[in-house]
Amino acid sequence: MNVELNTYSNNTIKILAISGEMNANTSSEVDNRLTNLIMGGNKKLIVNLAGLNYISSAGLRVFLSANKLIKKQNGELRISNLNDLVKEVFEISGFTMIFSIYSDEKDALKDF
Amino acid sequence: MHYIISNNLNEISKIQQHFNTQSEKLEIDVRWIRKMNIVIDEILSNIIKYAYEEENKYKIEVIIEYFNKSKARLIFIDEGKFFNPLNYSHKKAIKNVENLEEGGLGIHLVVNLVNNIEYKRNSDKNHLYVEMIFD
Repeated sequence: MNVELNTYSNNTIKILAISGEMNANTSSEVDNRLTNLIMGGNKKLIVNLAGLNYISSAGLRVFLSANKLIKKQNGELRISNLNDLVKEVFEISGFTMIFSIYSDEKDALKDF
Repeated sequence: MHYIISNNLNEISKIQQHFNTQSEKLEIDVRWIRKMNIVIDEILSNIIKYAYEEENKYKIEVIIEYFNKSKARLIFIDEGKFFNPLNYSHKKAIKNVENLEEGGLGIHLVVNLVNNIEYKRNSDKNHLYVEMIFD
C-alpha cells in the first residue's frame, strides 16, 4: 500500500495531488510534504484527492494538523475531488464541518 | 478462518489481504472491501498501539466468523490490558473532533462504518466483535 504525491502550481496557489492510500504507514510522508509546503511560505494550498482510494484516521490527522498549521500562517487549505468512500469517511468523522471541500480542483481554485 | 499476527503495525496488511482475497472470491463490491479494510486497520492499530507495552512480542487473533455475499463478522482478540473501545463517547466525538484523543477518531470511524459492534472481556482477553452488512 503506497502513496504518491505530485506538487504543482497555479499562479500563487500550490496544489498537492495525493494518490494511493493514506494509512498509518504512508501518512507520515504526506505529513512531511504538507508541512514543508506550508512552512515554505505557501499560504494557499489545495489538496486534490482524486487518486486517493483509502484513508484511515492516521490520514485524517495529517489533514487536521496541516489545517491548524496553515491557519497559524494566516493561510488556507482547501480539499477537492473526494471519491465516495473518502467523502463518507470525512462525513463520519465530522471533517466536512472543519474543512473547505470542493467537488473538483477547478472549483477549489475559484476565488482563492 | 483464524489468523494470528504479532503486535506490529506492518502486520495489519496481512489481515487486510486475507480479507481482500476472500472478498474477491465472493465478488463483494469494492466499496465494502475498502470499508472493511479501514475497520481492520483502525481496530488493529488501536490494539497494537495501546494494548501492549512492547512491540512484536505479543499475538493478536483475528477470526473471520462468517463471511458471505451479504455480511461478514470478525472477532479481534488480544491479551492486552483491559480496553473497551465502546467507552469512547462517540456522540461527543463529532462535535469536538479537532481535540479527539488519538485512537478515538479511529474508533469513531469503526462504530460508524459497521452495523454491529460488541465488546467482551473473557479470560483476561479483550474480544471485539464487528459485523458489516453489505447492502
